[in-house]
Amino acid sequence: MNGYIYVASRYERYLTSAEYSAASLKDHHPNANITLFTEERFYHDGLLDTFDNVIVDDVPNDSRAKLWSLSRTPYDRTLYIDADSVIQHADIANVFDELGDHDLMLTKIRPYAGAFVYFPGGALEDHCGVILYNNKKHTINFMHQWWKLWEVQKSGKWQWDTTLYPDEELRPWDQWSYWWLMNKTDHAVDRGYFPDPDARWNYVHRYKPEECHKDDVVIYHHTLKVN
Amino acid sequence: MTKEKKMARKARNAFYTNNARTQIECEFINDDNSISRAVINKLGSEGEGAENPDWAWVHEECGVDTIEANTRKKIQELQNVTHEKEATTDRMIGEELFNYKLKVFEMEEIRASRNTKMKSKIRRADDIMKVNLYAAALMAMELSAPEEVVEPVKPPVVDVPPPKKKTAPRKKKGLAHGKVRIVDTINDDKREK
Repeated sequence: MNGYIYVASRYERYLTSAEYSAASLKDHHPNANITLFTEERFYHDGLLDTFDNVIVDDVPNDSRAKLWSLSRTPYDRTLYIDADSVIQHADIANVFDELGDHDLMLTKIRPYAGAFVYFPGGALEDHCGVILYNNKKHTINFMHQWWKLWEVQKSGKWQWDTTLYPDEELRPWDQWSYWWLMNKTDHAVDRGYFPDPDARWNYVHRYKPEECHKDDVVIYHHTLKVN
Repeated sequence: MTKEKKMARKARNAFYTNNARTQIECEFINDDNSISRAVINKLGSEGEGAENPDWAWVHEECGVDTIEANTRKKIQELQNVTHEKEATTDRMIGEELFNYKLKVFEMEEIRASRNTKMKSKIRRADDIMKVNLYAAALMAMELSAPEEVVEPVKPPVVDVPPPKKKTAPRKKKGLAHGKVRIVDTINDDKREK
């Protein structure tokens, strides 16, 4: 069984947004299987109107609870969607076909859209706001390692060559531990990118309209204001 | 010519600034290689109807075709800037609207409501006024709805035919569930009839 997962932790606004996004997903794909990972304190019965499955046990109060959740997907093929995204097109139902033989699939970051990308040792090119992946053992292990590496990254226990990898710019970002695992370890998995125009699968609101050519946007990515 | 204008030895990047083509903006490269910008009217200020001599000079320096091409380029640049500003404004409005809707969905009565139709209308609203209207309507529905009173459930009064007797499934002799007996169907068919 394939399905979609959302994660909402730390702030209630993320939960509201995840509900909003999942409802928009059901508008376009009423039979979608959707699982929510959230903290127990946020749970209420109304969540089951939108989500088929709500997981609260041990979900951490962490800004990157997403990484904890990715390896715990109940699905064969999973589409992780950031909570501040809205589904706009019925093609969302066919997204799992895009994965092909890859283990994991994403879209590329657009540097002009304001993201930190380039550093002396490399570049953060993958946008981790929408992730399509399978449940093969090594893929799930990759997700697990991502969470474990994030924990030491966040705590400061992980130190690296800051001349190549500037600490201040990279330490706050989960994309940094993702980049490290993909480029510097044996945990790397077979990564693919959504076919051109990839932006339709994760269209960040700062993107230029021509990014999608004439294709419809499937996932529109907003920016959440927590306060 | 004024003293300053006499210093200019070359004009460049000239373009018309109005549809009537009666004003030009251009750069002057001066004798000391400094660059100054100037706006030149077709008609000079000294007498009505008299053409400004600088007008002819700039046309001679730059050429009408080049001035026209520069003008078209300038118009395109201005349009691009305008479109970009409009897109930025639309984007900002879109983000404000999205975050505003989330705040609406966090209102207790709306969060607790099971009225998915009205919630969908709020989600799909394309401006704040519609969000407010649908949110107010939903709020009114929720507040005016009678509070749920838990009453003992009475069995419905309908003619119900007497239940059929349930019969236990008949066990098949000699065949364990999931097993198949191999028989010689031609010479020794021992299957039950």
